[in-house]
Amino acid sequence: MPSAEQEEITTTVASFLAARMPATAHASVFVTPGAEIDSALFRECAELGWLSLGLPERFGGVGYGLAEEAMLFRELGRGLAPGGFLPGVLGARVAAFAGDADLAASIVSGSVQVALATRDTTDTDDVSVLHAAEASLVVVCDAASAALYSIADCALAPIDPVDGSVRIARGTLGGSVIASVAADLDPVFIRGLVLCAAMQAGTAEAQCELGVAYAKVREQFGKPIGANQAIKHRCADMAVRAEGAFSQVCYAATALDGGAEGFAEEAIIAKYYADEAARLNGEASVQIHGAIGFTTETLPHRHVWRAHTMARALAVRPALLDALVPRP
Amino acid sequence: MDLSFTQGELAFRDEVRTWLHENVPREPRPHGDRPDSREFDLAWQKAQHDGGWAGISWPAEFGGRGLSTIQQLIWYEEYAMADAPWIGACFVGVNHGGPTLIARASDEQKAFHLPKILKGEVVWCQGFSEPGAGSDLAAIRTRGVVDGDELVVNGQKIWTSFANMAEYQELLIRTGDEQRHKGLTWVICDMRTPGITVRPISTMDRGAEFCEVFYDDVRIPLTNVVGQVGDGWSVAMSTLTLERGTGFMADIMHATRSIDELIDECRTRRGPDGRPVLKDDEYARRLAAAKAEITVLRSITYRSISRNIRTGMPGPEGSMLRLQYGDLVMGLSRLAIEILGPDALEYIDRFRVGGWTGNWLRTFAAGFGGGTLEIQRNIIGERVLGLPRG
Repeated sequence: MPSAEQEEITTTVASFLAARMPATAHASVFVTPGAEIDSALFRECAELGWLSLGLPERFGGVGYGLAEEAMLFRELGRGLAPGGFLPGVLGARVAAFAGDADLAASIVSGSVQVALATRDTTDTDDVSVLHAAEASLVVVCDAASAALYSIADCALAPIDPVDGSVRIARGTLGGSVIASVAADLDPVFIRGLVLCAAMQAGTAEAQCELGVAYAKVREQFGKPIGANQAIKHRCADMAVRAEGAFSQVCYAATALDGGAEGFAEEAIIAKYYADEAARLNGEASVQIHGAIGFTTETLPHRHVWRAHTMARALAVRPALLDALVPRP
Repeated sequence: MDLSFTQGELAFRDEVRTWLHENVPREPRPHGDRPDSREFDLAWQKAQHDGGWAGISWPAEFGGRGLSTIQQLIWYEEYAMADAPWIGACFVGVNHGGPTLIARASDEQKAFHLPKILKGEVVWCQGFSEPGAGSDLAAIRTRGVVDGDELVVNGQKIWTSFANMAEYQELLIRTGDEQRHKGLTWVICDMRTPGITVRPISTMDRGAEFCEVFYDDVRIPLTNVVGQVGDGWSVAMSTLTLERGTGFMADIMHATRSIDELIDECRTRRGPDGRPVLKDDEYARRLAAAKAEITVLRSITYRSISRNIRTGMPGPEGSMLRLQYGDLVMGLSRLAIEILGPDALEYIDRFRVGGWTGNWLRTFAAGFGGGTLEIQRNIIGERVLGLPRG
């Protein structure tokens, strides 16, 4: 269970998001070309510590643990926040642990943005890159190590993304590694899995809240549809998945912060389960909304898009399961 | 959530592990209607008592071990890892009836009953469910009428585990004319009282602990009433505030152990195509998914327990745990018997090594034991999410 201090992170971030970048159904961001997030707003978030919360103080960070950082990313997921905060956090760690303090400082300040590359297959440099629009660096990581490349040296072309609030480019990594760090020095990939899972847990919670709220107010046959067990039980299943997703994120983050044996396995499970929870809760939430949920007038579709996109980040379902039970 | 343990807790874990290693019975618990299952359960309870490990959640003043929540958690984790036996016939006395007595009984009642439970001298059973009152417990109709200094009871209970080998029963009856939760009384029933007929129920997993109990003018002294006549619902619910969710950890750790053992076995066990099962992507990933699900359930339990420690009250997660656990153990045993292939044609009871078929048949009961999964979903929907009642 999160501490009072951790709860405060939730409240602060949630109210900032609500005031400054509220999630809306008709988000102009997904139909307008150009910036994913205003660069001044991105720097303002950086000043709030969103890119440095879990970075050790000796590298200019706030020095909190992964558990606190996960509280932030849960809210970013729940609030459908745009912007490359996940790759920014991971990229800053790579720069800092590789000894490039200046680069780390410029990432943490928000003046240099980072994109997140995930290899399309494990044995090539073909990548799909999230938050590519404004980034000048790209971070790519796996269980062994993490590295930063210059995005200008990569052969990337933008695509029309399913989730217009996350700008995506695809292509091939290129150029030389700017900075890199081995996993035994800092488990960047594993931390990324937990933070991405925290975002997906936030998405799963948001879908549960949206579906339940609608089930209470939408009336058919003279009563709220949520009084019917067919709807109520879907809601209960959403609640269990949301609880499970966030509980596992907490466990994995706390295990990593405490240096507990097996934290990598906990993180892999967190990402696998949160991806599933975000997807399944999306299906349930849209179904409960009925036809209105199919339109862009309500929020569930945006969380469906986001869950779909983040499930592709860092590691996908079969790879996560195979890491959990390796072939003999 | 704090996963780190203090030095004292680490030492405690060593103490628990050592004791369990030296004292856990080597032979499996007898299954089904073999008469020695009662003796086995009571002997194990007595061994725990003699070793100072009886009633780990009971306060020390009532003979319990009085462990902290974290220590209970450690105990249950080690218990499962040591492959210690299912509590069996001692369940109701140690985990429900006893704690209820501690919460609500008179000093005389406590002094008489609690030591017998802890020492493994008696078996208790639970007389709550009726043919017309399953998930809807407040619908019970078994009646008690006050006659002088006695209650005269008539009616029927069902799904009473171990009634055929029990000395005492926690019996919930209707003594007033009010409806639903009002007018109920919680009374200690001596199972040797004239007028009681016990009929065992045969179940699909060849278990034999479930029974029907019939009451025909059964006379119970009023001194056996716990709390007040008419206050039975609150007595029956009083154990809820004692429950910290630690007991559930044993089931989860047991399931974790089972899936790990199954995965291990699949490294060498050959599948239908002759290759090791784990070479098969579908089986390997289903096993991984099952492992992930049980791990997440452990995390929910930890979060729930840490919330309980903070707030002092059980949260709404109880139904979530029950729901998730029920679905999970059914899915896990189904996967296991599929992997077992032709070996799954043979019935092996769930207490023996490789007893997946007996386990699979038993998990059908996970869908309704202690309230159906549908009721758990209703509880989550209405009490946690605030959805309207149907």
